[in-house]
Amino acid sequence: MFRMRLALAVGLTAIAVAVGLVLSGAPVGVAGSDGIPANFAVEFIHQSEVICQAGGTVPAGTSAIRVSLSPNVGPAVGLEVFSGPTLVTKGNHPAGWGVDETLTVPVATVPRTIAQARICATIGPLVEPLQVNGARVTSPSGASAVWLRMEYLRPLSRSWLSRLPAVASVIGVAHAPTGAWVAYLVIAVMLALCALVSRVLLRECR
Amino acid sequence: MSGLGRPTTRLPVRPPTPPEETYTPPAPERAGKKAREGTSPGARRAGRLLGACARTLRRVPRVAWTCALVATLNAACWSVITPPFQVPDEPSHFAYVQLLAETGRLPTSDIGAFSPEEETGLRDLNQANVRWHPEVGTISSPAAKQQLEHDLAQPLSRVGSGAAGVAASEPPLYYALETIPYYLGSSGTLLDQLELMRLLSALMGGLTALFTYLFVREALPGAPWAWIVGGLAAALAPLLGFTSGAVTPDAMLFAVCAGILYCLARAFRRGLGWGLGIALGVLIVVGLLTKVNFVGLIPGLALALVVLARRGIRDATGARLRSAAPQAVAVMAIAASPVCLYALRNLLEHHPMLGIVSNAANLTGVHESLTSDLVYIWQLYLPRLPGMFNYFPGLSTIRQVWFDRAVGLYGWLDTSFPTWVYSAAIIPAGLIAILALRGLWGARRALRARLGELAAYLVMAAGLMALIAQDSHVHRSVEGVGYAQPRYLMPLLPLAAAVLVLAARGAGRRWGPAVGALIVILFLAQDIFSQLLVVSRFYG
Repeated sequence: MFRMRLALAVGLTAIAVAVGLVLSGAPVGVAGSDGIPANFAVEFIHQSEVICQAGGTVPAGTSAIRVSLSPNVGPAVGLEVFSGPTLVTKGNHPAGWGVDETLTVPVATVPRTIAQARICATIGPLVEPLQVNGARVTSPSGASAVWLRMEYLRPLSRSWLSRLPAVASVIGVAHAPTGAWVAYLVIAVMLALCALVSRVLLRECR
Repeated sequence: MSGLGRPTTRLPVRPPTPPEETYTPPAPERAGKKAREGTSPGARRAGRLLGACARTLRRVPRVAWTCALVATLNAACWSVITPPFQVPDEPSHFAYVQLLAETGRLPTSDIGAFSPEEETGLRDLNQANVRWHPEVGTISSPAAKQQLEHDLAQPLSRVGSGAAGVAASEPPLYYALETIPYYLGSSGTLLDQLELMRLLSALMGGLTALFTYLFVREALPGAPWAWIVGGLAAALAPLLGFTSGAVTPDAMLFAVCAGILYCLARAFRRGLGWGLGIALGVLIVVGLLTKVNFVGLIPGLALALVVLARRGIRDATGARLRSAAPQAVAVMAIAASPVCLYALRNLLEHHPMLGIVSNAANLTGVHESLTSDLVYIWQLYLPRLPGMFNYFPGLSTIRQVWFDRAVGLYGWLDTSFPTWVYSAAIIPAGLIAILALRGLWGARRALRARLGELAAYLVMAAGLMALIAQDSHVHRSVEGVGYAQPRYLMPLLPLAAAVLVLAARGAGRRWGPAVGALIVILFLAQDIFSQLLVVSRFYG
């Protein structure tokens, strides 16, 4: 019984700590983009390839890059950001993502703003054609190419916890019943569930 | 002391079913007779039936009701945090219910506009731009809210073209039940009706958890302390909450399948009596009328009935075996009746005999060979063998499709955790698998005597998986691997719960309860963080 109580206490404490950590973090927001419009389905990629394109200005603090690729089940995607010949940051996302119209690839945080960045996207083996939402451009060499829309994401200033009232009010907007109280009711019900589950475990699982 | 090697048939530490929770004797006959004086035979029969139902319900352990309560409340929370129509195919399912409720007709087409009211709601909710765009949240401005409320307050028509999107080919039972909350909310707006309909699905989620608990109680009677692990873990499974918090026939399919598995486990343990046989037959009919996917379970159910018929049933004294073939035949007859009626109607109307199933079979016959079918089915779940054509280059289906998506993928399959979460989830999943194998090894003697039962469950699982893979193969040029969604495997939830119970037992009697508690806490954590993920994606 002691072991069970201990396991329960450790487990619930771990959940509480993890929730606290998550809520103290901040959501990411768009800090910049490459300026390419995300035109729907300008091309389909049928096999592995590398797309290199101008990336415009990548802001300092960028920790993820959102690229305009769309599959049902997506391939592995790697990104490399260059400043001239120097690799500034890189990241990758494993295969299996989707269904999405975009993919967010986490990258090592960019330490300083990179002007005239060059970004290469490496598309892994494909299970199905990969839809590109971007724009057809003529490169400086005169060749036609399809470029992806890329958005540079970095953490915003306010934490999730400080946004809680705003998030609660949004939950109550397009819903029935309406009102922020619905969000707080969900929190209360989930806390009650935690208590109920603990009580039942203590009574039955021994 | 470890529980390794102990047979599950040993005497349990506690009575498997505490007397106060398992059996409430019926009211004394004399009192009943006095009360029945002066009533009509029909009323007496109805009274007896109600009394029998009440007694059956009283026999359900309180802890099973607790599991049901946890699952229902959890699904209700999911119904609140998931924005309207941001669950796969919910607009189509709603359209089906609306059409049925407003006109009494079934959908005639999968292509065409929904009712003006639903189309307006979808437009004002910005549904098409939110779906599949994780960067776009739900409407949040006062102006958008005002527009939505204004438009939904208009006397818009609730009858569309007769189309119900992808739901059009589904059987009508779930949708017929959903017309009840639809009518109850008809004085409100479309959003009121949708929420009430979602709450009915949440109740079905509760039934799923209840039957899952009862299933593990029957299937693994050796360690009563571990049953609650299976029941609560199922109740807290976020995929159950997410699906049962939405308008989708999957919610009812899960409940029906859990009920069927419970009946089977009970029959394998106690014999297939008439009552159980009729209940099983009726549940199979309900399953067939709920969702087409149910067809995948039929081969396993047929095998189970054959095994049960051969095994026989003990008489009242428990000493003599008699054949259970009549009961098994009755189950098959009850189960086959709606299929026969459906086939007859199709033949009379000059349609393919088995409707959508015939169409799927024809598609397969035209486009693919049996070998390529089998190779595809294999690779959708298992690693490719040498010599096989590679249908999934660069993709580990078991890991990156089934496992990752079971860990967490919500909304229109567009809401996922950061990639490190899926990698981290392998650790507890691996530990649970090892412990479950250990539990299985410990129960190997009991297992040998139950190979027929185990084979039936495995064939049910294989049949469902093959059906999903076959559908995915047929439609892969349009849907890609879009059919590879773990919710389609949720009818097997009670079997997964049994694996969790085995894992708790695999930790031994000393550590088992602690490990069991940790398993439940793990599912609770997955549920909480899944809800936070959905909140951050749609409202952040």
